[in-house]
Amino acid sequence: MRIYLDEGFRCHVSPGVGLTAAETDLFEGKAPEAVAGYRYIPAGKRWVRGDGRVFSGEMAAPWKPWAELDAVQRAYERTRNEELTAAMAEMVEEVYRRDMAEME
Amino acid sequence: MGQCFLYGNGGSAGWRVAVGLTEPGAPRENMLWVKSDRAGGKYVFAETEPENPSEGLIWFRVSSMGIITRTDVYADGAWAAADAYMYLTGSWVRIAAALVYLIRGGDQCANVTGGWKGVRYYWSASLPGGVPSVTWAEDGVSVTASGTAAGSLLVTEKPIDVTQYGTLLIECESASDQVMCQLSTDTGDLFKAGQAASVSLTAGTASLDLSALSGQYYVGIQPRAQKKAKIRQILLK
Repeated sequence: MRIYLDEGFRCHVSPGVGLTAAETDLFEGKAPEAVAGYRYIPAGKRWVRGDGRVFSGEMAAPWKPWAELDAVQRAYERTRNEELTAAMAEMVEEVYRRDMAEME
Repeated sequence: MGQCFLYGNGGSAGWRVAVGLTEPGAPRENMLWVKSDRAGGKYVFAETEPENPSEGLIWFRVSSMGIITRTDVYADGAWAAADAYMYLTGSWVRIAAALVYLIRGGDQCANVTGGWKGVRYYWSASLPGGVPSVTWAEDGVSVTASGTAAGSLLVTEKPIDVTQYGTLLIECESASDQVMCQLSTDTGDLFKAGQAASVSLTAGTASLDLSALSGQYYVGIQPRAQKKAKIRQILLK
């Protein structure tokens, strides 16, 4: 997945001024809104937290409260499941109609 | 107790707060002891960070239920976690820890983790990994992933409450590339789906930022196919 990082290594899902592109598979399956609540440090890079502690990449950790991101992610998965179920039902219905038409 | 701040200085008629690196000489029931040589006599009970703290201020972080979940001392311009104890029925009981071990050498720290187990790592339903080879020794644990592409997982039996900690530290004697330490709300085949934070491991100490995490998470070491690591210790700070 391609993401875009600001100076504080916070993730953005779209390119923008001052953002640097990065590739990672750590966010595979995550809702874009949830990804935007993460900080991602690429391998070889370092980030210094407010208290002076240094974190080295590769690291992915939320900067927004996890409960908020988890709620977004679960809603995203529910929607994806509903879309998938609807698409499959439509496909089955279409095959059924076609078979019936051929039989007639 | 909402955003209520309760300030104090030394104690009240019913209880007292003592500070120092050694046990207070004349303890009495319900006395609090903050094990620190930087703590002063002033303290505050609060859910949220006190504004404009003075040097040596003790912050007892309390939950909405009024339970002390962590103790910090403000020193050199920053909060630092400290061990805190309460004197109950004749002995000191630790109520807040500055750090908690999840692995310490060959100790699986089962009182916190419930022990560790090697399991498959499910990259997806169609791409399950294999069970790792796990060897515990006095100086740490060695984990080697199976040959399957998705890799393997060494994971805690119980989820760990990280609410009062800001950093997970993983000290490795050695680690291949593509070995991660991950936190997840779920375990088993849903571990990846519930993944909340990750850091890659190398020889030395890796740090994972937990500032925005609260609640309980399974902690896992996840080497991809045939990758391996030797972990000396994992701790929350």
